[in-house]
Amino acid sequence: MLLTFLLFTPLITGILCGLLSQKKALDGLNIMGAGVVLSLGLGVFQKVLVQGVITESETSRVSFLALRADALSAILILIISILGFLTAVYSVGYMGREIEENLMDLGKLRRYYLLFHLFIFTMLLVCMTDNLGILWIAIEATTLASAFLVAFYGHEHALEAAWKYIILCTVGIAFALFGTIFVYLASINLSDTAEPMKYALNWSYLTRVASQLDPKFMKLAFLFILVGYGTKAGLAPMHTWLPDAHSQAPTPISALLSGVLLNCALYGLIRFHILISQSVGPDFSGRLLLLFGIFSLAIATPFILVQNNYKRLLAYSSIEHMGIITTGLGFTGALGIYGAILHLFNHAMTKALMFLTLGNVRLKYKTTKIDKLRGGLLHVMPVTGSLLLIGALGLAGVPPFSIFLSEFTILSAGFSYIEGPGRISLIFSLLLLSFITCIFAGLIYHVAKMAFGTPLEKVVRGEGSLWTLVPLGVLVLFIGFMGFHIPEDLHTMILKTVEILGGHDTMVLFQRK
Amino acid sequence: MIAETAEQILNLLTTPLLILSLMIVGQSRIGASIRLYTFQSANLALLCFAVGYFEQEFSLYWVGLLTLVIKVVLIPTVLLYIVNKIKVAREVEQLIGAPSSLIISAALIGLSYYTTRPILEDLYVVTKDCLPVSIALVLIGLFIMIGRKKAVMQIVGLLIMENGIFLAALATTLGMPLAVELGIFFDLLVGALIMGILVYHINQTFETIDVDKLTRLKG
Repeated sequence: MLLTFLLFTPLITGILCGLLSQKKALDGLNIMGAGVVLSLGLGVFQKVLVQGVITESETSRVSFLALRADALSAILILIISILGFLTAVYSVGYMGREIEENLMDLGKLRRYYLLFHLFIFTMLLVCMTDNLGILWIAIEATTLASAFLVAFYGHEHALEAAWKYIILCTVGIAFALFGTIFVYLASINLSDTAEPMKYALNWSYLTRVASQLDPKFMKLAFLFILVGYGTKAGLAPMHTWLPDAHSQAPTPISALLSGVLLNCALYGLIRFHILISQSVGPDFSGRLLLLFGIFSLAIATPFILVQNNYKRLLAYSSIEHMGIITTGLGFTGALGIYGAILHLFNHAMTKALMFLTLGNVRLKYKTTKIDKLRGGLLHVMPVTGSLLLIGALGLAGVPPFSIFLSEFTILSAGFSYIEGPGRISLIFSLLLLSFITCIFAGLIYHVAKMAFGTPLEKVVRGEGSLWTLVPLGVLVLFIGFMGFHIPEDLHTMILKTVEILGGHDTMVLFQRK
Repeated sequence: MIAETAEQILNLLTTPLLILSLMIVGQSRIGASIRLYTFQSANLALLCFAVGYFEQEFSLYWVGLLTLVIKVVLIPTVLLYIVNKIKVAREVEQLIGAPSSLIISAALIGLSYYTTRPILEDLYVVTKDCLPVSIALVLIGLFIMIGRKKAVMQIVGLLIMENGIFLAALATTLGMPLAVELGIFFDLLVGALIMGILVYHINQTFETIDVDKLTRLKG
């Protein structure tokens, strides 16, 4: 029942939020709902750690509506529930401040919480469903739930961003549906009876028969899936909606879009990558992932270097990090996959920290232009300013923060990749390294410009409320601590994920004594 | 003998899908395009019923019924309501003229027949001849999205694309499982609603629904 409770808590919370009309009650319910999701999410994580896989369905037979969580889902659930809770807490402060300043009213706040929790619900469904068809429906539903959140402020820019977001993502995802149909076709072709099987799209069935699936259809399917879910994951050249949507949404939503939603889309891509790897061998899909990953980095780099809008800066940095994760997956060895999954987690935490600190900045300055801030954040907002600096160093991959560790793992996987044509992976690793270096310079330059210097005189010193500071503190703990030590439970879970992704070969490397 | 009749009837029901999409390409009014989409969806529902009858697949009757309710009644009603509400100039405003659009669409149809040939050999269902048509619908839908200025026409293009994908599922696997099909219909309906509302707000704010005016976010 655990999975069912976890899935439906945000749905019920959202609907209840839509019925309330007092600010205190809304805030309370919001935090309570997110808190329950957090505790249930941690519960699922522990249970998966012990049992490996948990499944729940409404009947005893294999059902196409079954919920299922394995190690890969558990990591996603962990990210969703942690960031969901922290952004819910942050939203109380952020939205409360906007209400105080009459930037929005109570009706909008109600709609915000309703959509916020629906959004969490759809993302949880993405990583808990057993059926690849439902997976598609859930990923499309994340777009639908978040479209109005992107358009939330209702001005020209927000509407333009929302329109691009929903049109481009829906078209992209339509291709993924095409891919899903081909997988279904390959799957029902296996059965000797003429009748199509009801569970032919179920993950638990597909993994058992993956090696017998017709390679011709599976290759075709993966091309469509890559374009489809790749659009949603922000891989270049299908990324054009991403900087607009991420910069126009309210800040807590930007943090969720960047930190969680992109990972959910990537999750869909990874599921199919696993199937196709077992059907036609890992090189076909791995090579494609490598190519798209590096291309995303190449596209993101110049935009980060010349960026003047700090929210767009972070959005392009998300494209970069999605590129790094896909590149890590593309190296296909256990080390690369381990790094990629670890990076998934680290990027989510660090990017959320960055968006939320810059949200505090936005609340104070009412602008997202870097040159209008005129620097001096460390004087004006000492706590936010220093957290921003730490977050930027972490995001750029400086030791001792967590992203350094995962980027280093991915790079060492690339440089030590010996099977197959090693030279290709060597070239890709060098490219990866040089792009990361350029982005490091750009990111640090922009953030230093904001943090240091003497502030404008008219700006009043002072921080926001505790609501908007405590979540940042928690996130900093994550990125600081995980640079030194990966918690035992998470380590075990990532190893299990590596196993699901078929990286058995170098498992020996990870045996801890 | 029965199989042959079935194939002929199915072919008879597939051809109008193509003709209707070509008519939408040539159409210069938004309202008429939406009505043509309604006919196309109704045609698709008929095809569903026919396939369900010949293959004894009862779930296809449900799918056909849902197509009628959602794609023939609900979605066109919403779109027509919004088009009337925003009182926008009714012209489609093509970036590419109608004659050249039709030639391009014809080329796209040829392309779909050419590219699907190798796959058709591996399909064993009675509806397999629909596959090239479905690809053609997807491509024409995309072409309409690219070649039209009005935001509403982008929605119509998207819907035609979705009809194509629906047909592809029918052509290769006799449709997806019913639960999945239900979810897809739900997403489609909610998606069309949200897009409609966005178009309304865009019209309020920009005083136009020409998408080439939506270019303020850059870099």
